[in-house]
Amino acid sequence: MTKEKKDPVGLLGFGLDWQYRDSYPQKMPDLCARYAGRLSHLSCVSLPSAADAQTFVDECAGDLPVVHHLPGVAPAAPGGPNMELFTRLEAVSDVLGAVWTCEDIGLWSIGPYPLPYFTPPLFEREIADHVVDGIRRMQEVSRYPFVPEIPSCTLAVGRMSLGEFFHRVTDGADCDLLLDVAHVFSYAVAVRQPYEDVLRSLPLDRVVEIHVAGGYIDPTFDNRYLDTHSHAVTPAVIDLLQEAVAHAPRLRAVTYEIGVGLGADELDSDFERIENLLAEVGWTPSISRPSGLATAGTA
Amino acid sequence: MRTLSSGVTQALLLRDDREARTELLLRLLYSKSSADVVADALKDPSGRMCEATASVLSTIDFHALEVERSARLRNLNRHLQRTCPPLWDCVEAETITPLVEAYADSDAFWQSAGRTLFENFCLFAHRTVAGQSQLLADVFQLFGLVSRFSAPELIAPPEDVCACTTGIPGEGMDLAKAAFSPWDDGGLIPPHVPDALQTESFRSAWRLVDERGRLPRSLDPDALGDPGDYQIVVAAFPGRKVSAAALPLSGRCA
Repeated sequence: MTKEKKDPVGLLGFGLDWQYRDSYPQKMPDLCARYAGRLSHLSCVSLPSAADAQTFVDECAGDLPVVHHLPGVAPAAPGGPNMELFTRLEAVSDVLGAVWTCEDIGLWSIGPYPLPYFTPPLFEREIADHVVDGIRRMQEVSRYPFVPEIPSCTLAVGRMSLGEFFHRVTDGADCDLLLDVAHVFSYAVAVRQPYEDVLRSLPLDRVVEIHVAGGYIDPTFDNRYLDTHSHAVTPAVIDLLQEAVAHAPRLRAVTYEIGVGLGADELDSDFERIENLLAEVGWTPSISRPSGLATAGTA
Repeated sequence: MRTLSSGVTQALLLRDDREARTELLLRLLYSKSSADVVADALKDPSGRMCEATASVLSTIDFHALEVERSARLRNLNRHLQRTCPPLWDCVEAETITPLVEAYADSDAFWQSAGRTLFENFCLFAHRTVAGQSQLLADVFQLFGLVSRFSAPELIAPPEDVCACTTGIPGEGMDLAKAAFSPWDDGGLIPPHVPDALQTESFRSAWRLVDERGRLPRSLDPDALGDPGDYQIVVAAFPGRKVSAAALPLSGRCA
């Protein structure tokens, strides 16, 4: 009896930013080609049009499943989600054949202009309920499930904990959750709580995707974690990843978000670290391109 | 320099709604004046802020807030610099940085007079320095107008903030449609520029723009050209091309 030959299975995917396609250690298509066979999927943000999305599919993703990371639809914004932008980006999701869409829950505009550094929302019941309303509005018009992501927190304000806030959001919207373990760490650092406790406070049974990325604690102020994506992954974040994988029964994808400041060796080293961790715990992804899309409102 | 009106913060503190509390959070992240008003009100909230808002704001670690605000001001400075590096070639950082900090702590930061954040900053800087240096005011007007007609800003995060918080550049101004300009044209009518979609101009005692249409790279008299009386013209062309010129006004009717 001959042993059946299996194709190599990618355990994790890359989280990429289209704006930086020429600025990574290698150009985006070359980077994806270099890790071919080791990638389970790709996640991409800042794709402005269907034409760009097609280029991304042709040159980078190929047959890999793709998560469409939205750029500032902002269901937490005071006026609710930017439905004009969201509707326009549906064409991008169509080209990608997106498995789902996602976005960090926060405030993306300061004053009247979009700014490149957002703010986590007030952790308050009224805001959580407002986010729920926004996600429902998005779900009504989209063919793709929207998965809210836990935001990076360099400052936390409000009477709810991160865990209480996201229980209320995911229960209210009856949606899945994207757990960014570096963001969980940033919150733990900001509120000076053990990061394991923060992780356990979250609705882990709703987690379908985990983000992991590098960063560092501000050397001048030790309760400020900077989620740069351009530094090595902090050991505490690796701990959180291991813990989260073990306690997220519906987890389907692990995404390593990379920044342009990473060297090729650093990227390779952290990719392997995450890959080895997932292999050691025996976790495998279950993410594939959707075979048929739901009609609007049923995603 | 003009700082944020305390009245706006005080009014927000008295409102009992989600939008007001969110706007307060945002203002606290950029404005020291707002933070001072809130910290003062929290000492004796009765009658100065609604109960729910007092309860929310009492969760703020004001030391952490100050660190956060400093970081955001540094990032704002870098964001503006990356949007238009030539302004930083022309005007020293020692001059611009306090203006950026004052901008973030002003009402202008929250009012969308310019098409872009950079143009809005230039409007603020132009008005703020006009009483002390007309040359500097003219330089900010020139760069602000060039930004007004240029391509949309790239929305990508500076290197030391969460890299997840990227975005898509905002829509550029539709140059084929006339739009109200927030800039003072000094009573001059812009000349007809063939093929230009839009044209704006202002009067300056400095040439500012050389014969090849290049922006000033320093405030040295040699770089600014001969003093005189000029109409500085900025024109937008299809394809988001922008050009600038200095037309001598002597002998012409304004």
